[in-house]
Amino acid sequence: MNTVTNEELENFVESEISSEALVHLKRQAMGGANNAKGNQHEQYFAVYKIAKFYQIAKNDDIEVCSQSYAFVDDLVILNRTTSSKHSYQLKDSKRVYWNGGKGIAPYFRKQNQLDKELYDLDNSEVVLVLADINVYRSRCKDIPSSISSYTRCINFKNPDSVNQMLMENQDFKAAVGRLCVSSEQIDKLEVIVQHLLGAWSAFGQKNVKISSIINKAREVAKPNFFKSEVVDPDEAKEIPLEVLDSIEGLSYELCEGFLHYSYKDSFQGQVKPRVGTNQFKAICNEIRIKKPTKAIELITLLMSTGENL
Amino acid sequence: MKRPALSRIYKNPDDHHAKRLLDELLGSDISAPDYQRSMLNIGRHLGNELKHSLDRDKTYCLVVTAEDADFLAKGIVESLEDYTKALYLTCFWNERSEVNGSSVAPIYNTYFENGYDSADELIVIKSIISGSCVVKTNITALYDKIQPAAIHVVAPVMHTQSEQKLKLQFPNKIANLLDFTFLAKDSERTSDNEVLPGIGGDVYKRLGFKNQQDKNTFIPNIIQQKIFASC
Repeated sequence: MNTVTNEELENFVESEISSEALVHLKRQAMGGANNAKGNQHEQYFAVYKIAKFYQIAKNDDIEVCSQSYAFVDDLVILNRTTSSKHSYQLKDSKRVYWNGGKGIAPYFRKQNQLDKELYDLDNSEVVLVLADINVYRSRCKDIPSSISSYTRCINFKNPDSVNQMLMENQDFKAAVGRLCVSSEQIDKLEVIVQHLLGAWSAFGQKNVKISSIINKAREVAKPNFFKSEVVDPDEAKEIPLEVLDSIEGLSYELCEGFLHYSYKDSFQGQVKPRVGTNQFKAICNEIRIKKPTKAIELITLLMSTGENL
Repeated sequence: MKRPALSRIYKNPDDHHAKRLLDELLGSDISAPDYQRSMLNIGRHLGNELKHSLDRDKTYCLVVTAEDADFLAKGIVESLEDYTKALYLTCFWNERSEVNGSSVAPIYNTYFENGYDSADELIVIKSIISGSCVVKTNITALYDKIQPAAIHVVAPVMHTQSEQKLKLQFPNKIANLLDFTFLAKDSERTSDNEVLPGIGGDVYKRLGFKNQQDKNTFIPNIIQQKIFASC
């Protein structure tokens, strides 16, 4: 892929496309920056794509950028390893058309031209992301044939809250779930989403590697429900199994670095500190010292944070 | 000394009993046992109010937090136990915090009474509803397991915007199931989301817990009696 300055981009647009196109490009960059502030739809979509691309191409060199200097600019994902680019235009409106006065097809065409001819990318995909299901269905049906080889539409709703998004959008939930120690528990997934939103925002949403966003979110996460990258095969050694096994009706299991327990199938919990942390060790030591013989005594110790023991 | 009642709207201005019960919570010199007793009495009163929204032939799943179980929730249970076909108790230990400027309340422990998932409707009990984060989290955790036909949210005091805020947390089909039983709504709130005058301050401390961590290692008596009695 070619590295191009803004000036070179403007020169190319003016000479190879048109002066009018350059005016559009500049206007779009200005408007986009204004709209980007607080744009929830874009934020949620960015988190969805960050989580998804991290899973499907974890070892690739992938950059993500919001409001880039481009014709299709709401979110751009550039995979340098495969020389491919995905440019997303998000619309939460009922009035979205390919052609006509405010039609978006010309922008898609110009974006593909830039990607192929100026940036010299092997693959360029331009995607219209529609919040409204009916608009999505309509625009899928009438993608102009001149752009259809590199254009597609997807439906991505713009709900009022992260909780609603996780309840309604199973793809979003699955993408975030693959990063989480409890992929089905929305209370934990919501925490992961908030940490990803925070990390994406902390990087200024500009040309940042997806791995850096995930690592940053993981680093600052508190509470931390991110899956561990490394699993310690000896992690179970410190657990006082002899005490746990002596309590009738108690079952337990290690799952993604956390100790889960259940008593008579009706009381369930998870030890707050991750296995291997000093706080977890403190809880285990306390159990060894006190040697609880009653379920309620043991469970009360398992419920502690391990910080004041 | 009682705090001045700020901008408070009572659900029923003629319900002097409710006013007196809520006023009891505002006393700064009230001891933890007295505060617990007031919450129990408020629960009994709210339980009677709630009967208007319930069907005697239906079964209900009570959704409570660890701090409310022995006091507010116990009072509601006392009022309802012979009124409905069945009541099943569920209890949640949430830990509330701020992440990226938003409230989250992940669940670390749960108690689900046998049969809870056969309930027809949910009754969600909370001593105060401000940002509605805990209520939202616990409804979400149970919704798919129960698929309730209605979700009754019950609290002595709510912030005036909480109802709308809670509805925004759910898809329409779930938001439309929510109904609210309360005694008063307050419109003032501190920057920490504490409703004023609300229920007289930090409910953990008023009930006698040291802090959130402390209440999260506490197993309410109502639950101890159900599962640990013979251990």
